Amino acid sequence: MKFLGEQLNKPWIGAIPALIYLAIFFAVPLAYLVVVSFWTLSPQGFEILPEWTLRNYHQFFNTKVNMIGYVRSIYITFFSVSIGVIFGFIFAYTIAFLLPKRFRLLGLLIVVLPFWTSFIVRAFSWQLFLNETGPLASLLRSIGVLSGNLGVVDTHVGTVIGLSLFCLMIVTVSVYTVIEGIPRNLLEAARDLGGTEWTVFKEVILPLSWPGLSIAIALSFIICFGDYVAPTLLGGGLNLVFAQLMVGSLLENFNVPMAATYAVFLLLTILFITLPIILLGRRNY
Amino acid sequence: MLKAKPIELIGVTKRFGHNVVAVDHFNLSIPSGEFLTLLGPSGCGKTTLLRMIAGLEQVSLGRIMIDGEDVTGIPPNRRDTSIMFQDYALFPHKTILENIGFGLKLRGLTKSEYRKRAQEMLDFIQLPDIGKRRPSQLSGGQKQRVALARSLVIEPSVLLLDEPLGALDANLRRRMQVELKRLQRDVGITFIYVTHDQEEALSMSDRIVVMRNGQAEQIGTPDEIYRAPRTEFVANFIGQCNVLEGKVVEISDSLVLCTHEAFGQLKAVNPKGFSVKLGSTVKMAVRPENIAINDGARGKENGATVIKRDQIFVGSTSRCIVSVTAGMEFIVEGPRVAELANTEKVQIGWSADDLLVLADEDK
Repeated sequence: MKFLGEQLNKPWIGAIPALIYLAIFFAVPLAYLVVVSFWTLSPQGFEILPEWTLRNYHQFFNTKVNMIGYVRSIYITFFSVSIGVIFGFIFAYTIAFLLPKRFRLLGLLIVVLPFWTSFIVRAFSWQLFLNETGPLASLLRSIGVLSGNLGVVDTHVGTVIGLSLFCLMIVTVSVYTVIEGIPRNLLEAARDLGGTEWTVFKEVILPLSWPGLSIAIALSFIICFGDYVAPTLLGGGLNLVFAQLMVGSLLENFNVPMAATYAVFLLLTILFITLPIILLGRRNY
Repeated sequence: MLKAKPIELIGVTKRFGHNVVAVDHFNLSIPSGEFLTLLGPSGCGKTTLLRMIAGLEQVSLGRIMIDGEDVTGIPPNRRDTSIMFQDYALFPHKTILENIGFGLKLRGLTKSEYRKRAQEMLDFIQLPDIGKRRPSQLSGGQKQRVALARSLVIEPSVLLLDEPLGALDANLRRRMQVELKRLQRDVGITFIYVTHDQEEALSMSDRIVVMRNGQAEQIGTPDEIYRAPRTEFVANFIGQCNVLEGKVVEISDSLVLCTHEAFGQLKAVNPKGFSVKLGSTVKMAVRPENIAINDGARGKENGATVIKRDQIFVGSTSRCIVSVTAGMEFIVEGPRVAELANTEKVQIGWSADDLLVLADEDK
């Protein structure tokens, strides 16, 4: 039996439910948000007036804190994703290639176990454990390794640790899925043709894992760049990141159009960074 | 012509874990330029042996020598061998040109150099226009040739082939057999070819090693292996054989005389490789095509009257099943067996030269 879409020669019919969902919960609200970023706050400061203006954008570019917060978010994200990629790749590689087959799922489970607690709980637990009066700092001081501050919590070192662990899980899982599927005799053929362990990695494993890796990088970037929890709980409240500025404008200044402007820049950044990565990661074979 | 090199396998053993012995004290010397086939059923250790020669599998015990040099501990990338896999193992993310040029690239050739050589190889395998394609865009036969080109372009002195025709359809496989054999003669390097297909082994090899349980059951030219299988296993694995058991009652220089319940007295060739004990029970084999019927059977040393049971159509010739006694059936092959009616009584016979005494399998 042919499906309805095929019978009517309209194969897109099957996509309708998903498209309706996408419209109601994504496209339309997002479009509204973009529109709001061009509107004005009423003089009393509580209402949004549909009067078109570029004032929010002017203000955005003319506030130095915004630029600092933006750059800070970029480099925190850069470090978090990089660390996550390096260690996630090592984990995926060791699980897929060094662990006997029957233990591989277990290995993967160990890496993703933290996912089973919510991120905010994990961040809170790190905050408790890593802060200046916490057990780690006390221990290090008592054995004389540390004098002064540990310098993790309330600096963005803590933020990077928290976010990179998150990225690590994403990278491990998605890279594992692709490299587990690489036929072993491709690696053997490369060895046989004269490749060292390193050239096999560079010429075969890395390019073949790129589809999974690129998705993981894009996803990690999206999560890190827009995250509010890690910088708040681990990074302290003084050196604000971009997402914190947005939330601040919403909760402290009640400036909805301004917050929408932040959101627009957040979205544009994610789009500009992740789209090329995903396009580059497409399998072309 | 590339430079071929001889290979020496000395007591090569592979164990997996504590109990599994995949290859068991294997000894063989392969002269340079030989087309040698490792033939056997799956699990006989032929692929493991090939992988050890390639360096992809560690040797548990013994030594592998290439051109007099011990390579046992040398990694695959520094061995003068090249392996071709059954599924070709072409790199899916690289173009055909890059695939073929890969080995040269790793040897430090510049991009333009290795691309030029790869293109020459493509011309050589008569697929000059596929350089820009990816492996997924090729047919099975094309992939097979590309894999061959990729292995040959690095000029190995030994090419190892792991069932390279296994994935092709019968027609193409027969064509590639001829092509491979011709290629081997042209390039002149040593080929070690793994297969479970006896027809392939017989048609291509200079020498065949029939393997079983990690050991060589018999080594010889295709002709020797076919005409004089040493054991029942070889007799049944290569072509088809009628195997019968008899008691040795007399031994002369050239003949062994046995008694058999259905055939009475049987005369067989006295085997050269091993000795037969008087009074022992031995197995003997006769090929279906060496059995004559009715008029043809007259005057043969061995024979009996049997009843025709079934006809087997094999195309080029005719075969039928005859029952000798209630529990014993024979296969007879020849142009005239088709003329026989079912349940007809038939006289069968074969000469002493065609009855081979088989060696005990548990040596």
